[in-house]
Amino acid sequence: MHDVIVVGSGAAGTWAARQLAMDRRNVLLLDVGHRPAAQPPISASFLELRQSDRLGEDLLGRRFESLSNVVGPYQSPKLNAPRFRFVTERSTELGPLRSGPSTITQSFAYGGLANAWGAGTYRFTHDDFRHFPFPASTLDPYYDAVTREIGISGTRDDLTEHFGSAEGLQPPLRLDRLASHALAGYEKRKAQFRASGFTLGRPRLAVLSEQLNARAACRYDNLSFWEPRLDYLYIPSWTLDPLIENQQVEYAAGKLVLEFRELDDRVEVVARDLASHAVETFSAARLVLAAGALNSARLVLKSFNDFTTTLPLLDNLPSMVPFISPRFFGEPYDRSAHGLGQLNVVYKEHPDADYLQGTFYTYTALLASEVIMDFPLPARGTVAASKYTLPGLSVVTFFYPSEPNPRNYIKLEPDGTLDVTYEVSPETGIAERRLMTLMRRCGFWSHPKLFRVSPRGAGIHYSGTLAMRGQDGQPYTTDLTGRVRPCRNVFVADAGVFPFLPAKNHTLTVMANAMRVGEAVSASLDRG
Amino acid sequence: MAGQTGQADALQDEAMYVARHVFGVALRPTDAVRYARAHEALGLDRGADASQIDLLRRAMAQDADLEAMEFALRLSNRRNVFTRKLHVLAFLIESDPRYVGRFLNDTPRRAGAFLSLGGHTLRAVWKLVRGRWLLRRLAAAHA
Repeated sequence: MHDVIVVGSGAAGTWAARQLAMDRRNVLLLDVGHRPAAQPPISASFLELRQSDRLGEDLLGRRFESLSNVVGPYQSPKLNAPRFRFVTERSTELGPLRSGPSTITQSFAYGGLANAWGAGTYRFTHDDFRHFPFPASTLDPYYDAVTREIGISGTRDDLTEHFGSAEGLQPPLRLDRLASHALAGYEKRKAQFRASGFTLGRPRLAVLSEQLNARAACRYDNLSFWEPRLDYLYIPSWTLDPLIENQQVEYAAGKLVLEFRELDDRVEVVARDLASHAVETFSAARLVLAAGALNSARLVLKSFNDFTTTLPLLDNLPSMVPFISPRFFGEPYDRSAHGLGQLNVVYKEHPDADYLQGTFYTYTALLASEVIMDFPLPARGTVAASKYTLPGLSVVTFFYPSEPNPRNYIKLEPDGTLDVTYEVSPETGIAERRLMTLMRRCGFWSHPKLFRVSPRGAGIHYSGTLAMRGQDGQPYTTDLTGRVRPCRNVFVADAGVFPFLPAKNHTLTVMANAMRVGEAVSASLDRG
Repeated sequence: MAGQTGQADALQDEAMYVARHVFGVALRPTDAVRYARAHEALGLDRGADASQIDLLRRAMAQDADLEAMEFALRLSNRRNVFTRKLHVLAFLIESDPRYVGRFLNDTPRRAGAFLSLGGHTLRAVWKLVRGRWLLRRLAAAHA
């Protein structure tokens, strides 16, 4: 029998397993664990690929995966890219759900959804923790440890109060031409921006600007949308691979966990082997669920045969504002870009309001054909327009905070389908229109008709399904250690435990909290 | 099987024709094959309005201005089958290194950019008028 079984190999499962391994626990990690196809990583830059004959296979895909947005509902081009398809492979089959008009994305991949993340790494600060049953300072040592291990680039600037300590950061990545111009515009008109509630600055990204151990610094090859295994961009595999290779964690792939049973002296975990279809049982003294907010909740409800209780669901709603800068029309393609967020924008309408956080992206890492039919010109004109205007195209994507709402919930059906209802989202448009006014003064043009709100669920920051409550004895909430009520030896390490979701990427907090939960599980083993 | 081969050949011919007449490029035979395969892989014609596919075939047979017709269709329905076909073709042309210069600017060309965009904007007005007229004419001829 193992000390601990961890379910899931994403950001939470990896960091819980790592902590438990450091504590010398006997850890079994059960995972479905889809992997990318065995092929050498792309070594040419995005520009070199475009100038070669390899674009078809590497970027469009043998089954034209990258063209999915031509015919289907819109999905992030990264998730459509051929080498990233493993991230969402078989997800609706393995995790059936019904979501109505909402868009829900799941992953059963080795490394989880973090394989395709935007690498934004932000500490939750004091205000972000106001609904948590512990203060912000509790996570500081874990944030520091994760920062040291994964390598985060960023700097101390106007956004430091929103992003937390800048200790241990590598220097920020190089800004591309368009982002430099945007930041210069902000610096020149800072008083106007700040008076309107806006602050701009450099992002915190889990992307190396300097070598860290065996991982090289960013090469500015603009492959972040095309190659999932870039050593300069952190993914959980970089942490989990050596733990498995060094036998500090026993890893069992191809196992779909179905439910658990808590007995007097152990927890039994029932899983189906996806190759043989055989149902197997594994035992451990403790169980850590890290299958993501949706699937950890699914497992809990299934294990209690509960098909009536609804659990809250949180997600950051995204909105998008495109900008065009005529000053950059006709400029040559920017050869040294990285395709990830160039700048961050934080909007706070007044000091007591919740803030929105936006990311400023430039269009350097995607094919022109991705947007070509959006130009209101005939076909030949769209090609010329894309060639000359894309160097001046940028997008600000805002995230909105999320609080529990009785009309946003999940429920498990007897047939195993997860019913996702997400009816209420925040009112949008105010921040976006104010930003358009300010950016126009910096030479960045947009129009309210171009502003878009993504479907509910498109934030892919699902949280809150098994929320932490300090003294609250409600079933399916978790205590400060992540233990899920009414269980004794079952813990949750993923974002399901977050009672509130601020408007920022939560992955760094998921990793830090998973370490903390792993430590708590270890301590509970010591107590017997 | 013969039907499938025939359809694939027709799609390849369509790809070569549309690439030449709409984008002004000579499509590689391998990309014409990929165009046909993309129809299968993406289900491009699945659920499509059969009358629009027929309209495209008649327009090709009469050497009508396909670019104008597609533009007029796209402005009223972004998801029409003709635009989807053209969109797939755009990806394939962009994947041909001979044409990377059409999609990617490699030297500063500010004046040229504004002249080009201005010219294409004027051209768009003419193409829209022409496209709408052609769509009405071809629909009426078929009625």
